[in-house]
Amino acid sequence: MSLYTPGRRRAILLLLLSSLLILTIDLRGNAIFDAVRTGYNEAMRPFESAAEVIARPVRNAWRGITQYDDLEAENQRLQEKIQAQEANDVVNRSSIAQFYDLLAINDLEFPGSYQRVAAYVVGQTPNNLDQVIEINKGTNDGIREGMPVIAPNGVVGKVTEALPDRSRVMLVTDINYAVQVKVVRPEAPTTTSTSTTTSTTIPGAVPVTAPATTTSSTVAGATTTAATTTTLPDPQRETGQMVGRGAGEPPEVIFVADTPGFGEPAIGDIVSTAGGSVSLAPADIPIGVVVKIRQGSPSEGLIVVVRPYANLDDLEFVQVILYSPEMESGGDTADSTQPD
Amino acid sequence: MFASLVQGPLPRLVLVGIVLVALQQTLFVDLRPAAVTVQVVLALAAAAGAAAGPQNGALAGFVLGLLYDLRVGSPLGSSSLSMGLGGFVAGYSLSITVDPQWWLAMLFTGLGAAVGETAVPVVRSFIGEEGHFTTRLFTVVPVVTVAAMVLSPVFVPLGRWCMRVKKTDWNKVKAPE
Repeated sequence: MSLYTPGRRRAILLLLLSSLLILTIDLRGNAIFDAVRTGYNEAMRPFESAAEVIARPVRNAWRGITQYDDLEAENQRLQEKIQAQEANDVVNRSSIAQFYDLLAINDLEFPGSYQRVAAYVVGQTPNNLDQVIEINKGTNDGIREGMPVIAPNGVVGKVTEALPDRSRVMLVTDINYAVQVKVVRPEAPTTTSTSTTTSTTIPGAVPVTAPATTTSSTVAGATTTAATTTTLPDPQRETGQMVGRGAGEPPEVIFVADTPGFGEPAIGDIVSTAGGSVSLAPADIPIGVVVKIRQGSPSEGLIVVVRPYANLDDLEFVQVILYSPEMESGGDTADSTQPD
Repeated sequence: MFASLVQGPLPRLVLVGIVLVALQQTLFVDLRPAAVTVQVVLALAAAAGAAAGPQNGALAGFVLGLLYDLRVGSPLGSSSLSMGLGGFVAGYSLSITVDPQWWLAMLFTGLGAAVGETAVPVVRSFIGEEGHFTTRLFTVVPVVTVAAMVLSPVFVPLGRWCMRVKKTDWNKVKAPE
């Protein structure tokens, strides 16, 4: 019997064309395929639960073999880090409280003012291209596609598929990930001097003087006037679009806005979300730190390489910020995605 | 038609495929030699090809790819193409021998897995996803290939069982008189 007959050739061609047809229909969006996918995921649950029972001891043994030395070194490093951080904790708490007070006084939003849903990472993509994780919360908890996902120390990614009780999250390293960001120069600690006239100044900041506020109070017949002049903290900053570059490669900020007045980004600058009415993430969520800057082609301009704060290789718990941009939420202030 | 469907390779293939996709999704996302995820589903598609020929290999790759895409969330049909190609290439390699020894089947499985894994970024670039061609492919493809070769002593008989193909028993073949 011939190995490669015309009949077999037709069968193989049919399979090829079927694949292309299915691919085309799926890429254009199809409700039937979506329903099949959801049903299949549900049907897979018992199989995956059973597989998890088998996987757990094997996984533990594998980790024990391959990661013991790393864990020991990391444990030592973390112990030292904890000791250093404990010393800074009290000072930081005070600074954060002052920061929130300032935001409240100026009626500004901050990332902490959005509702969040904590979720457990239950899986990750099994292929070697996509950078996707799966979490155990979904539309039943208010999660919608596009919502930003964060770890305690920074942005992790965004929700790309929300099922009733599960969601898929595209990590910031995925090549399809993109978000508007700003590159901010970290400044020295804010110094505040208070007298009859209170002024708040950040050294090196571009001096933008807000309208002075005057508070009057009468104490025992005497009138005390306290004038507060605030220099808004607006350190050097650039905006651009951060895109993922795949597994093992740090994300990059491209299309860096050319604003000579603010100077150029430098290594050590902080990258955080830019926010805005169409951005999928609220402003000022830290993403990472600039580790390298290179000059792209003339059309590309500066390209800023970012090391994410969040350890994307070892995520266990994340938080989904229940945020949708103003354009999508329609400016409805009663929407749960609006700040509290 | 229903009878041919039930008696054909599809039920066995789907059953084994579901189990393998579940293992791929749980166990093999953690066992990552050189930070590469071993592709067991692709390995089975290639092994089915190495055991049962190009047509069966392509069919196995098509079905397993659909099961994989449905669970993983990748564009439906993209893995069918890459795994189908992997199964086809592994099966086509059979043309150099009538009844491959285990080590030849191992080589064919590895070849099919290598082609299948290389085809993944190619297919993705056809559907508009750029940037998958990185130097990391030089790590990913060899690891996936070696893993498929290591798994082939188990997966080639499994692929043969799935595709309902019996191994040729040369003792029962009469010599020409």
